[in-house]
Amino acid sequence: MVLQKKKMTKERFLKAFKRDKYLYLLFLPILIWYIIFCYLPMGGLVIAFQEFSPGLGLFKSKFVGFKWFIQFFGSPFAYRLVRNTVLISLYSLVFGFPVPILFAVCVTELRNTAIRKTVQTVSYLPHFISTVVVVGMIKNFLSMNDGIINNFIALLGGERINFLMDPKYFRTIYVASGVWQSFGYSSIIYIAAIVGIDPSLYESAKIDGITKFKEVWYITVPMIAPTITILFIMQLGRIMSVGFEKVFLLYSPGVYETADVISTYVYRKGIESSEYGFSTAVGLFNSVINFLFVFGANQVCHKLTNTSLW
Amino acid sequence: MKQFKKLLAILLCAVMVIGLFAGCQSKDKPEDSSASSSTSSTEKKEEEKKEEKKEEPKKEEKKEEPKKEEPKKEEKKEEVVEEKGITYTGVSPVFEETKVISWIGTNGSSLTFEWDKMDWCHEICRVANVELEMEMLENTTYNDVINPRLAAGADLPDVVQMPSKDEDMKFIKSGLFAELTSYYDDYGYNLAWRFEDNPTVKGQLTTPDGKIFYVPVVDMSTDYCPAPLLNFTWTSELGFDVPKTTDEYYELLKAMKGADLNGNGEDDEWPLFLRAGMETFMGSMWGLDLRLGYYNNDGTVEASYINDRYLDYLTYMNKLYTEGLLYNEWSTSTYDIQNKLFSNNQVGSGYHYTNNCQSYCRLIDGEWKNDGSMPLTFGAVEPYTTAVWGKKELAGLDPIAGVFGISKFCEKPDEVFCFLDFLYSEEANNLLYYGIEGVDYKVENGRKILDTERRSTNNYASVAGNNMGAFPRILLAEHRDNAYVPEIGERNAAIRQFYKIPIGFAYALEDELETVKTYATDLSTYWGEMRVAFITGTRPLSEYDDYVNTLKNMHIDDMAAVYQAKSDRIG
Amino acid sequence: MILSKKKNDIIGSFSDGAFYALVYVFALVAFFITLYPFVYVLAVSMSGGEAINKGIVWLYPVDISFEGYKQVMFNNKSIWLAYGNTIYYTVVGTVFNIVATVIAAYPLSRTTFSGRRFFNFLIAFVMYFHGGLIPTYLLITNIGLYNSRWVMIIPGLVTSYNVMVCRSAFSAIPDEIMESASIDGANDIHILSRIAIKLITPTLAVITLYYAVSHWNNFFTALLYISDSNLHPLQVLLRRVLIQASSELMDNSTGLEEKLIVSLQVRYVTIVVATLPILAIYPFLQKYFVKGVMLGAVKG
Repeated sequence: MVLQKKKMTKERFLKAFKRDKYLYLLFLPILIWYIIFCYLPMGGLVIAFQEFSPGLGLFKSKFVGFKWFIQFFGSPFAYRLVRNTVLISLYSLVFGFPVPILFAVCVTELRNTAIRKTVQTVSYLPHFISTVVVVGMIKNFLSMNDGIINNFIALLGGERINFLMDPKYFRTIYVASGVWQSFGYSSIIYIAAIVGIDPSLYESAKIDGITKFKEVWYITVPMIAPTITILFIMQLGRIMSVGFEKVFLLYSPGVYETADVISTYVYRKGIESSEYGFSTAVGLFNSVINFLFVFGANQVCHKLTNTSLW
Repeated sequence: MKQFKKLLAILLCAVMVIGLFAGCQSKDKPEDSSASSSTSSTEKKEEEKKEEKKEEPKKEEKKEEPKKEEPKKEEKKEEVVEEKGITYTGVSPVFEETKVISWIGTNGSSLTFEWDKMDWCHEICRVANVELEMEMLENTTYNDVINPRLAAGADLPDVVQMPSKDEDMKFIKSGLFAELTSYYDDYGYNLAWRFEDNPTVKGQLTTPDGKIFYVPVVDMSTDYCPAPLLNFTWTSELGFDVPKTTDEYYELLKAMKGADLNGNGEDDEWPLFLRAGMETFMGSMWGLDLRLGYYNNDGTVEASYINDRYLDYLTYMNKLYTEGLLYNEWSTSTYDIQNKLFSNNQVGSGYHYTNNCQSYCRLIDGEWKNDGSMPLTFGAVEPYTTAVWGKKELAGLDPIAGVFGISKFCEKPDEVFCFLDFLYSEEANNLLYYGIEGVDYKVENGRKILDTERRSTNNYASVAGNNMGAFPRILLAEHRDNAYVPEIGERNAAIRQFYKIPIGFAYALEDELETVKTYATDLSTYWGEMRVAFITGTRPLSEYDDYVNTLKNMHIDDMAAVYQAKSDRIG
Repeated sequence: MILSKKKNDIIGSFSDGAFYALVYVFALVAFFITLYPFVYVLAVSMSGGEAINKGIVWLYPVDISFEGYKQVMFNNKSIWLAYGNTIYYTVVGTVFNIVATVIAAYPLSRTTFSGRRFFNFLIAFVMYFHGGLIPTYLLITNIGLYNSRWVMIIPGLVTSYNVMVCRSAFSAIPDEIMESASIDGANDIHILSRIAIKLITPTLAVITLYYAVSHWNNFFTALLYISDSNLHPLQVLLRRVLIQASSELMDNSTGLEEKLIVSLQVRYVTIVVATLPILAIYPFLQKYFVKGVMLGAVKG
């Protein structure tokens, strides 16, 4: 009986393999890539528990247990880093997430094709501008003495504001420029979803004499809800992973108070101060929290909408 | 089906584990794999370069001069050849056959970083018979590049300009760098006599267990340090004397504000311009070392950032900032902003390296000549005194400005060391600071007469590689005296007495290392950002006590104790 | 009955009017906010130095001068070298990305593919959990990608998110098409290359753009792994010029004094030079692109 079962499993396996051999062939290089570039570095996370020394390598370096984690949580920066990381993403989510949806609804409602196309085309533009250029523009625009914003403030008779040196403006600058850069591009997927809605729904709504506001609320929004949900989960999962590049390029020691996030701290500690073990430990902490976030979000989403990431 | 899945999962896990091990194995023995890969890559580069090189030998042929035969050399040659094949005796050529050395470094100047154009440095290599495979990186990103490469510990060139002085001995302990102790004895001809005048330097470079791993950059011209600078034209126009105290200085700054001293009809003057970080040097007037953070006050080391005088400093600086006397964007200001302000004649005073005044004068007035015929319009003055400190003091610099290591991937570290030693020779020094004789300078009556015209055109000296940062070297006061108008040197001489040498660089002992590693960077991050916050007023000074408590909780006192011990050791 | 319907219509049309007014206002605001920074940068880049320093340029160039362009474009080769590198990385990188994404997504979309759930998890997992900076760095340098052009292409070969997008596009292909193909005796590779790929071209267009944009924007990889300035992409150069205020793109032949006065302008010119070509070809791409997205959505 057991033997038979084994035999059957083997047969099934062979059969499945034979049937899917081309699929395996296709997938194999990708699998190898994933193992090398994504899973091997995870093995390297062992550094987080080591007094890692480049000369000794992964295997000979001394193990120190949770020393680095203890050191991190004992440091006065731990709270601030987590707070900044979460707040920057949270604000980006709160202010950045609805705008593309709103914009998508607006754009699809524009009757004049020429206007619609122009607005759409222009709105995607900022996404093509690299982070470096965007930050370059921000820094120059906000400059206290030459910047257009301060020139404008001065023109109105106001006091020039030191945007780049004052911690209280950092998040606003970060979030606002983020929305500016991404709303058009992010809206594409919603526009696609809205255009994909069965027109007969709108036609029947029209016969019922529903106003445009209601039409949007009762037809458009529910129809694109699955898209919204999935994207929302994606965003939520990133709540602990603020875009490193932009913070890195935009901040300066004067605004660390609100700008320093876990990833930039890891970079400074790991790359600039060569504290490999410590910085890997902090990075690992970030990754774990990050993972828990998205896992939780995914569970919730799965229960609510029956769509999920995996 | 379920079982099949299990099987597949196990299989995949196995593949992953094997993959992991395979990957780790290669990491396990970086010596072999990376060494071989580094050599193979250099071989490739050589092959590639051979074609390019065709032009270079021609040059060499043309330039070939009769080799100076030193009697000393002949004697030593025989002994050394038998043992190691090294013919170096402290003079050029360092090698009989052209030696290829790979190198990574940064030139330290923000203006130029094109190795190909640095004629003076190429000349040094030519006379030494060395071909440098130079990886010259831009200064601002150097640490970003070199630190992770050191972390990876793979594929390092022969010579590495270190990102720091390795105070916590991280890289020494990593075993990535060759020990140079015996080379210092055997081949350190020039280093030996250079260090004779400054015996502490060698002591500072020696680890607690008596080994030396690095060749330093030694800056002995410590009197070319930051000092108060003043716009003399404006000061006399306002009828002010050179201020003696910070209070008088404040009055002067206030008078400069809004007086339209550049006469362009706009209120665009900045009485005090600082570049980011320069405010730390001003701490010396309050008896504080705000760069290192610790100050040796007659044998007792104090942590500057929690000292009561620091509150006074912050109050003063905050006053300058809020009253619009201090340049409003100082903490993010860069070279180009500085140059823009000077060329528009918008600056009333500063605090910077005194030798910069020459370029400031030229920026302010394009007609200003650097041949010594015109007085400085912007120059260094004596430090102002404060009520809380009273003494006239300026922040000096540690003579060890940086270090270079020879990586363990280097096949002939002894030979490479010879070249590093050669860079300390008179011959290399002259090339590095004055250029090529007959082209960039003449010798008359034993004095070097620099071609100032040539030097000032198109930023020539810095393009040619004057004081090139990617070489270990010794920088003496004479190098600078010669390069600037005499008045700069005179003004320096006048304030030389006020310079106070900071607590010198020295390696930490084993038990101190832990403290340094754990607390040092967090401390300096925190006090650095709080300094900016207090001066700009984004944090009120009423929070000063909280700030002090935070620093104490971050173990600033433990760090001060480490510096106390170090300071005692150096003596 | 008729009356009430009319009333409804009136209310409806009034409300609809407000709706459209709102839509147009919002679109207009979005339009100007997006466009203005570009206009401003362009205006400054073409203005005279004095006008810039006085801060009187707002919308159009004042005292038109092309000095900045002369300096950036003709006195310096490095920007063109960096340009070439970026184009290389973007084109080659994107081609690799697309091929890799398709061959990853197609098997995962086949319901019959055994181990599908496991592989799906495998690729999803790395979206939220990764080895971190130092371990990744150690890996990449140890496999010899340091200072190699491949470092800009191989480590970013596949993005899990894009694989998922592509996977759902494949899944959306009606089963009948696949079945009829396999009955005809075509194997999976044939089905993929002859049939399936054509059916998801709109999605591929989107993914191509995603990848191309990320290659274009990528500066951190280059910062970490490429120290040879001959291999640097545009972004690394831009960082030095725009953010670290390096004056390398400025004219070295004139004196120190003159060249620095217009540093702000040189930066703006650099922005224009670095972005204008993309902005110029973009509207043409965008036509196909939006069409593609729409098509994909309709089909899905």
